[in-house]
Amino acid sequence: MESIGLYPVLAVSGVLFMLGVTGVLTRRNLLIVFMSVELMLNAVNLAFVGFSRHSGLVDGHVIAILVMAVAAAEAAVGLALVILLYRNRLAVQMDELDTLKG
Amino acid sequence: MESLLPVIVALPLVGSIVIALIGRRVSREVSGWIGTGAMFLAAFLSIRVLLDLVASAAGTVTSTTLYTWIEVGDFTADIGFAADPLSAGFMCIITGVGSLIHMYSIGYMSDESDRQSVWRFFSYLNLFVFAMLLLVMGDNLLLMFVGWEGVGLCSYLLIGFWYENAEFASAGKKAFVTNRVGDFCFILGAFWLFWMLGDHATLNFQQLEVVVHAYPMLVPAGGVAITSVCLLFFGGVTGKSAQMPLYVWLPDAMAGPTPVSALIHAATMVTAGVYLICRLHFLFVLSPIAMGIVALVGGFTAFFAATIAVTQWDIKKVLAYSTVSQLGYMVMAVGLGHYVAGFFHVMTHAFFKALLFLGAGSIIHALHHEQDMRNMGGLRKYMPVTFWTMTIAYLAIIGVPGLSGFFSKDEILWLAYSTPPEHVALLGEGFRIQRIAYGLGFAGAVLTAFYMSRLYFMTFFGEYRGGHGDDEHHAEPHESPWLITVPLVVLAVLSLFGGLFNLPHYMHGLGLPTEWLHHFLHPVFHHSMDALAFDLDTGKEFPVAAVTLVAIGASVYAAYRIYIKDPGDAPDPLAVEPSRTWELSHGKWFVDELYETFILRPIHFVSRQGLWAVVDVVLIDGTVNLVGRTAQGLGRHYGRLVQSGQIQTYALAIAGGSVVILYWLSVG
Repeated sequence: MESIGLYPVLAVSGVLFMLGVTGVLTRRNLLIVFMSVELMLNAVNLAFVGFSRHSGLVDGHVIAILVMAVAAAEAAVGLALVILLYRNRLAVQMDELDTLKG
Repeated sequence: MESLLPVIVALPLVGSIVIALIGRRVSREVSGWIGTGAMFLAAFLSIRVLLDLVASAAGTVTSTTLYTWIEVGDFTADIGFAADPLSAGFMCIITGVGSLIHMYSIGYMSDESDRQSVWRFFSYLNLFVFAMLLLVMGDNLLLMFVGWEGVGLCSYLLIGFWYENAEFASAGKKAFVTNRVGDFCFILGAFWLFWMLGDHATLNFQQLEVVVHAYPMLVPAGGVAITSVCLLFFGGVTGKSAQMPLYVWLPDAMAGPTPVSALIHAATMVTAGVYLICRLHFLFVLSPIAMGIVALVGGFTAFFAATIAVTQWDIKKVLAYSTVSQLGYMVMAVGLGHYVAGFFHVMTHAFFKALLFLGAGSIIHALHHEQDMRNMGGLRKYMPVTFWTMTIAYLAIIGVPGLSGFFSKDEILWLAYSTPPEHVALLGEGFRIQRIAYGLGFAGAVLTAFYMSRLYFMTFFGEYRGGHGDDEHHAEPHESPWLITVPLVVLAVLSLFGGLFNLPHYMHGLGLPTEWLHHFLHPVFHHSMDALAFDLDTGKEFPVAAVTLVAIGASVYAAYRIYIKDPGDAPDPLAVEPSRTWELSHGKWFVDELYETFILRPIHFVSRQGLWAVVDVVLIDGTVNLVGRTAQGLGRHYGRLVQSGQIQTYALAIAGGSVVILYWLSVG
């Protein structure tokens, strides 16, 4: 089977990661930001898997599966927090949550 | 026998700790007897050590090392004790006189109205003896310094024993601070000496003497360095032994209970300075200039303090200035290189001055804390034992032939008169220090005879001037209990016969051993004695003593005329129409006021207006406040922009930071 090589994989991973970062930095809706974080995690997963295939070692796969497991747990906790925030503050817009300002 | 040494040191320490632990639960007599018992045991063992030294061959030193205290490179300092004839002599004085004074204290501190806990007194007193023994028995300078500081601490604690009286408490502080000035000189001297010896540096006294003799080029005789070292050590002496200019604490130290004045501020602690010079004799002989200054300061102190004692009314103040004066004689003797004579006077003075203080304490006790001699008088009828023992002490201190003080004081005066001038060079050949010292000592002896006669006549003769009938207690003075009179009698015997230890040369016809102390102590000092090569004219000893005697007799007669034969109505006839000199003397030459004006006030001024108002408030506080305000201001103006509370702002910072780091990593 013809391999597509390392660089295209890394390029896609990089693009996905940048999209995720842009989403986190610019979107005001908490849920969208949350999804953007997931996007970043998956971009990293893609890079890991790409490296793993390139080097022939399974370490990358292991890390990717670990990240998925952590991301699942994080999604559960994160969504619970979002729901609680909505219940208490009636807001899911990031710019309304600025009680920590100095 | 060397195994006895740590036991002797430990006994008072154990006594002190035991009293401190159980003192609250037992009566004051029990704590008193525990302390006294420890002291008597230590005295017994000390005398055994001394007797063994007498019996053993000349030049013997017993020493024992418990363990190595400090070890740095080649340098070691041990916890070790040594007893040579000099320190054994001091040990016997300290424990012997000390145990008598402990016993006396049980009687003296029995006043039930005293609210202070007396066990504290005995605990401190035992602790003092421990520190003092450490001072004289420590075999190196460092251990000696521990004792040196320890006695200062105990002195402070005991002067301020009645600390509820603010004046007494501040007298304790004055003693401590004044002593610190001297102690600072002491430690600087030790540092310099250590540094000077270079590769051969040691602090052990025996090794020090060997090194100093073996490597003369390290310690050039007559050099600036050795003179400075000796003068720094002498600075320590002026503090502890109350010499000019640091003597001012000793008269104030009389605020403590009278047994403390007797033990610490007359018999033992204040002689530590004399001991230090004796111990370091091999350094002092190398510097004629330092010896000259020591002799001159001692002689001047002997005279100066005597002029103040002449007009004081407080019986303890008179004795305090007398102590300063007598210490001056000892310092003068060792300054002129007559170490044995200095030690002899330390010994006899310990006997008769302790007796004088204890006698004064007996009077004060009987009169319920009356110390003003103008309210005494006629006490010989009421207190016969105190009277007769005080009489012996009085005759001893003024130097009546046959009593201990006569032999020791006249030996010093004769030696001062006939010391060869080249030993104590200061300001060139023409400036004959030993004659000046002799003159000052002679004048001091005449004044001593006068003020002691005055004290004696004012307290014991004439009519009783205290007690105006309205107060039961003060109506009739009574003799003190046996706990007080027994130590008085023992000390009186010692004052009477103390001179036998070192009879002068001209008395060899009596069949008694002459100059015994001289022979006993010779091994300690023989190097210095040989170096000084005294060729004294023994023929002059008797004439010098005779001249002194005539002058003293005239002085006593003058006191008799003024205070007994023709007293008038006033208790102190000289004070009726005070002359200018009288007022100066009564005001202690206003030395305290001088120090206040020229030393304390400037220090206070610089501290308040300079160090506090400028350095502390403006510089230090200002810098700290400036840093704080800057941070506050920066935060207020720029921090707000960053700390928006918007998560996305923080996320942007993290992302931006990551980019910078990544860029830096990939480029580097």
